[in-house]
Amino acid sequence: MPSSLDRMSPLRVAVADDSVLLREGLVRVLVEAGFEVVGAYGDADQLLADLDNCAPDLVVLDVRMPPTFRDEGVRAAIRLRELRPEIGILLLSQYVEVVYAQELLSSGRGGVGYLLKDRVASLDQLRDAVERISAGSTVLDPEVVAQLVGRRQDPLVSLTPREHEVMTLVAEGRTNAAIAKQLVIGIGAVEKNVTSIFQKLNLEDSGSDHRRVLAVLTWLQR
Amino acid sequence: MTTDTVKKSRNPYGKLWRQAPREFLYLMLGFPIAMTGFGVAISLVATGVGTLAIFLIGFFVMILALYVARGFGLVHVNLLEWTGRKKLERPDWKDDLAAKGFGGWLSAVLGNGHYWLYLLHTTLLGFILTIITWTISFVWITISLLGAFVWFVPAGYSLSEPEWFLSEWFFGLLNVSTQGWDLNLADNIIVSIVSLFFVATLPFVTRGLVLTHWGLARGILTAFRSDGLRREVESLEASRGAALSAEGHSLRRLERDIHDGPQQRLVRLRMDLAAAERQLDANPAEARQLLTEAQTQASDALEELRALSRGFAPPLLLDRGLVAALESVTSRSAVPTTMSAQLPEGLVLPSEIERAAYFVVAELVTNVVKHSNAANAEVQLTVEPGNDRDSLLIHVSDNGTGGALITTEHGLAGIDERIRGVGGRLEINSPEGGPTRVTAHLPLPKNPADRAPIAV
Repeated sequence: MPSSLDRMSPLRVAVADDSVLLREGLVRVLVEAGFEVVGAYGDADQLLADLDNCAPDLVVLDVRMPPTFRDEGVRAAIRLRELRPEIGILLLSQYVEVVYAQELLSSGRGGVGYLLKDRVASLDQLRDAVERISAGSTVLDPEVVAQLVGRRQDPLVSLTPREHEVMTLVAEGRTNAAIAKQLVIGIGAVEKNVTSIFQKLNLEDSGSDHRRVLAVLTWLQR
Repeated sequence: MTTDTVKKSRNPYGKLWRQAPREFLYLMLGFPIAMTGFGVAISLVATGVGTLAIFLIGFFVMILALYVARGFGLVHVNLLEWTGRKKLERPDWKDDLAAKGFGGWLSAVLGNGHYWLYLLHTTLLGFILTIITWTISFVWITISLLGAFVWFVPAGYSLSEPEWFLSEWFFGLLNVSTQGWDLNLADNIIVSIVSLFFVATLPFVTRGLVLTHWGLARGILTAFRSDGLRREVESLEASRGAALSAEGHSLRRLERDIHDGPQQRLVRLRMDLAAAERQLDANPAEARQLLTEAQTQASDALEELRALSRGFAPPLLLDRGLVAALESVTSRSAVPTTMSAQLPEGLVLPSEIERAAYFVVAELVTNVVKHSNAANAEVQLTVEPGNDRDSLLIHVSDNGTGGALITTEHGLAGIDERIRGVGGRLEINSPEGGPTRVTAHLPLPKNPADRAPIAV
């Protein structure tokens, strides 16, 4: 990923959101978090048209944008994946839909994120998400994961409460180290839990964070 | 062989013959039925009129006569349809009005023109027409059969004295000598030829007579145009009432939810922010604490608003339409649920139908999870073509324990109300022990091009 290579220069971020209020807020928080905002647009088409000019490492997209205010952001993200797979994508929305998360992940590559807009009010959360995405990870909103886990309650009974917690964090795209920090347990304990979960769910624990997320999500969606 | 039968079915004369036995049976049966109906109705009317002046009982005898006329008239209409004629629209008997007390009953029967028209049919018009058509068809069938019958009459058997021969008379008219002929044989041949003509025309006659009956029945035994209007107005009023009440409920709930939730939080948020501003210089630690609390209030308010708007208009429904939204609902269900939609290409559903369909399915799927103990469930969407307007058909079935009723506890009453709100109806088939099959019919708007012109 380009961003991890040249850590010296700030990450170039472009924003597309039709609401001026939120767009300005986003730009301010991104700048404050130490990123370089190279463009802010009112809809996805403007952003895609200006891609070569602003050359972002990562784009932040609102889901509902003109002209129809439906799922323009999701469709723009999918097109962007085809055009320039190296650009990271952070999809923001007032609500989260599991369907959109699935579509975003279906490209099979990491470097994508889907978060509720509320999360970006926190500088730390936004910076964390943008950095993880640009490092090739997957960042999913806890609410998406909650919706997914919520629909599969019964078969998950076989997981211990701790394993359940760990699996939720894996699905959100956390690394073992981050999970250990959040749950205040040792990395060894996290690894043990993850191995156990993947065994119980008949999954293969493939190295990269994105593949782990995909494995868990695929299983949850069955 | 095959081509032969195909040819036959295309042959209009053959088609006429295939209906003829039923039509004939109808014309024959119609007579004893009409006689009985006439006898009973006329004597009741006579008794009723006779006792009217003396006792009030006459009234009730009259009403009884009207009911009898209704019964016989309906038998007649059903028999007519059985012969293969086009369906006749049944009148509006206003039985719902009659069920509402004594006064309603009187006005529903005595004040309903249909009863009197049926009485007119039973005692006069239908009766007379039946006598005429019965006679014609009886004569026709008799002559048709005579051609076969005459060959079995022994030669020399005669009704007249001196012997009279049809052939002698007939050829006499033509000035042809019948000297040396076998007059019996000649008679039989003439009768058979005439009889063959009657046989050949029999289906035309039965069809013609049945059509006469049908015409009369359509004239006086069918619904008035105003009946249809009355029914439509009633069902519109009912559905409007249900819609208003459902809308009203929802609005009140929304108002209360906003008031109890986000509104309170925003008020608290302003208080926290104002307090933080006051504390900013004097007590920065306190101010930070207040600002943290303010953030919590703000995110909780957002959370609640999101839940509220999801409850009123699910984002996916607005973004991607009904099928995508329902696929999301069914895939999320704890009971494995399959979803299939067979909707015509390019079908655009009105948003109120989409919303109703969405909540109905969501609610039913929730019910399956909560009450049915089912292992599997199925949701199907189809469009049911109707002669008046098409309907969106929603089937939700499960292999659970059944026993679902429209009671508040199962939420089916709310679903029913929601469906009636858009002019639809709900069918529940849920025997004790299962399985449960619930069908919702949601009427789609009439295609303007198909709309029948309104006759005044």
